[in-house]
Amino acid sequence: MPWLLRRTLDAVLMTLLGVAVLFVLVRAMPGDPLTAILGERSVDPATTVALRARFGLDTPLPTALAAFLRDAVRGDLGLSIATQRPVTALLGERLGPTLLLGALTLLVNFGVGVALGLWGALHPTTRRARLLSTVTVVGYALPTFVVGVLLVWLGAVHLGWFPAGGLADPLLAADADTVTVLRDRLRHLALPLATMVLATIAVPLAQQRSAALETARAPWVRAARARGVAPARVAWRHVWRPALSPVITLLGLWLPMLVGGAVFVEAVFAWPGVGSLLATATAQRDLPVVIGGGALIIALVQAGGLLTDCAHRATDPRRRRDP
Amino acid sequence: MTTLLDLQHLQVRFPRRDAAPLTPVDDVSFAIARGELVALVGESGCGKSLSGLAIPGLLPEGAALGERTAIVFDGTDLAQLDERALRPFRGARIAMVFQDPMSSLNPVMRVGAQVIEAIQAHQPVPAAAARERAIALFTEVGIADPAARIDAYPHQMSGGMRQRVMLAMALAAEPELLIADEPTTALDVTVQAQILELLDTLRRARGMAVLLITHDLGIVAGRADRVLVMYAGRLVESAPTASLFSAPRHPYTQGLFASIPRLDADDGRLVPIAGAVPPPERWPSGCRFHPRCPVALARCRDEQPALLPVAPAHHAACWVALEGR
Amino acid sequence: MRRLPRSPLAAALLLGLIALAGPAVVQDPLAQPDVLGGALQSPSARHWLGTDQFSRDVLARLVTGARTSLGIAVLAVAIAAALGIGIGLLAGATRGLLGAMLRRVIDLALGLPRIIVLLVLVAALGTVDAVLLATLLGVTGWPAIARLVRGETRRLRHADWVLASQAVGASPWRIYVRGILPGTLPPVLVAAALGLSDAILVEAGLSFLGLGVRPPTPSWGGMILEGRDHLVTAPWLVLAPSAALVITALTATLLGDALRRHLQPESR
Repeated sequence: MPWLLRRTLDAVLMTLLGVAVLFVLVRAMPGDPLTAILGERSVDPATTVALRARFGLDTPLPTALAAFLRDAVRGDLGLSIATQRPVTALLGERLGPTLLLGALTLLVNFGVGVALGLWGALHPTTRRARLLSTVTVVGYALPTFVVGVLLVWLGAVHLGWFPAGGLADPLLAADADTVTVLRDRLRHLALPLATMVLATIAVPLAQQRSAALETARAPWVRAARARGVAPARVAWRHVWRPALSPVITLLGLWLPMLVGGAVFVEAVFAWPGVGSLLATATAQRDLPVVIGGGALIIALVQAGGLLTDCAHRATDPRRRRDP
Repeated sequence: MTTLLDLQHLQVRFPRRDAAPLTPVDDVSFAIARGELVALVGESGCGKSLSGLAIPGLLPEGAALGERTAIVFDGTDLAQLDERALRPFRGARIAMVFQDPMSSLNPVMRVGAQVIEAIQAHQPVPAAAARERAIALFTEVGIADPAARIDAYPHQMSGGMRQRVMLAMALAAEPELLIADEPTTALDVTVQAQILELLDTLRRARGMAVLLITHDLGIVAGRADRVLVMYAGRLVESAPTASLFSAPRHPYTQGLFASIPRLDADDGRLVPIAGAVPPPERWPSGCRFHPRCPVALARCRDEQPALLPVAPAHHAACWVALEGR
Repeated sequence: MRRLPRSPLAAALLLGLIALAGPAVVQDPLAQPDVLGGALQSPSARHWLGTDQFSRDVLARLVTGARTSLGIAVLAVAIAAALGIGIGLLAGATRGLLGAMLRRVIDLALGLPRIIVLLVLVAALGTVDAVLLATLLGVTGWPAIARLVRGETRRLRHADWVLASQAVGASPWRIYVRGILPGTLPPVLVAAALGLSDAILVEAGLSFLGLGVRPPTPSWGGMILEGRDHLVTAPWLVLAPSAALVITALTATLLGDALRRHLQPESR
């Protein structure tokens, strides 16, 4: 079986298993959570029945799980207890902003982090490089929401350059020209993006630096210099390119990290994404939304892992030897 | 024969924080003529690799050349040049081949691309022409089916083939001097012979000088024009190959020969050289070999002998050898 | 062998001391002596870090919060380590179907983003007290340690002395628990220190979202949440717990780094 097919099936399987774990966890919790939740609000009997059916509370666990997964795969994740709207619709609305923020963060982290990491590795003994490693260590210890709150204070309250939250200006005219809309979007994007980047850039920076340090000392670099290859080209093709592989590995491990960051950053900036949806839904104990959103995130993480592995095979020819 | 490389008082220093600098290479001088194959022989730790690296300026970070060092290559003193000024020499005039071909080739780059890179490093050669030249070089170094091999990755080739690729890359810019640092050590014995044969053929065809750095006296016989023996950072003997092999003068060289098993004579037991090679931090006074030397005199402990003639074209740094002739 | 650098260790001990003994020394974190007049006071001699909007002493809340947050984190790491070592050792020791299955279980658990599982659990359980929160954190933190232990166990399994022990007829218990397990501890210790930093930050995050330790019990994340609205007039309400969080997480990370350099010099 070709590698890609095998790997994709693996991702799908892991996603289903992950969702199953979430479902089982909820069912396994002591005390009947659903009854407790439903008891906290006055919900009409029809909804209660529907909810009980969705979670299969009157059926044994395996049957309930199978039914749940079957429905999930078909795109039916139930109704939100709080808003009575289909969970899939809610997620659909929220997915865009989360992907936007996540993708941009990835881009910036990869671009800036990798460039800085390489730079730090090429001049390992300068004071700048040592400063870089200090920044790295501190950055790793900064919680995302703290950075977010401080940036809001600095950028929105103190300097007033950026809005304190939200995706766009609700008062903007519907027929405003593209440039104005773009500027507005960018202004709203600036602080959340800055927060995500500051909180998560430490890891790719450190990783790339150590990977580049290793390759900078590699024998083939010296051999390339011996051939009279230009220093810029040596740095690029002989130090950076071979160091790419570990960074791509990192990307795969890093996606779950990005998820955590997304939840907190979206909460701080009222960014209408899946993360903030999950946060509010958890506070409201809106289980269908929490599980549905969790399922989506798990699927995204698995998809990211799949893409990472593909990228790995593309950039490191040594991995193409099929095991 | 004209002199191509004139190495004068080569010293490689590693400054240390709370002590005198280490000089793993300490006052080495020799010359190489055009088209000549000179072998630099010594055990590991004697400084021969560093000597080779010093010539094109590829010493590791932290190393510096001694004040009296001059590396005169075709009239220019390379020791005075900075990195930018050295680059035109590397590859185009002085090439270097290293010991382990697996790690000396970029693992994520096709071998053809690496050869083409070497071709284009000094002259603007269009891609198609460069590829043609690369294939031609592959043929010259004896790689079968070169057009197919061009696009292979290093891990898809055998050790012998990788070393051939390294040779192709070294020759790409038509150098006048090739420094080969232990080119066959990492290879099987049968492949070793092939590579050495190839080296010889190439140099004759191109009129290229070769500095062959090795610890293996055996591969030197029959190929080198001259042999330089190095010990503890200094040259101890220098002679044409025939002269060295028939009558080695320095006790160290004699010891080396005595410890090599021979097929044509049943010597009974092999005679190793007593003791071990001292590290640069603990070099003995006077002649650095004297603690291990079977014929050492009192003078050997006090005065370091210079490399002086003991026979026609044959030099040795040994008081005993000097007095004996 | 390089000596363990003393500063992270000293800092960690100091923090531990503050968390344990501090609350006994400072004022009552829950007291609201003068809500009308004494709220939002800037740092002064009486209130070293000022007061919050309910006129509670910020320093007192900070120190008590330290006990809460650190206590939860330590318990969480202990649970995660216990689970991780147990499962990891088993996964590394068993062969065949069971071993493969355990490996898949660990991989699956690793693939689940921790925050997602935590949110699901919190949503299902409703209010969580400190101990329950610590348990949840521990139960979601074991996979990383399990993978580490499994890797080490499999590596050490092939050591010559293991073979020798088996040849002499030693029981699996002796070989694995008394023999291999101690060998897996150095990287586990490093991972535990880093995991401590993680746990502290995650707990703070959950409290910030209102999902962790509930008021009025002070916790650093909760303090940041409450202080957010007063960022302009009383920035110390947010800055103090933020600084505490960063310093503590940093100490744990540096400790982990120092431990790694000390215990595993080859992995530089």
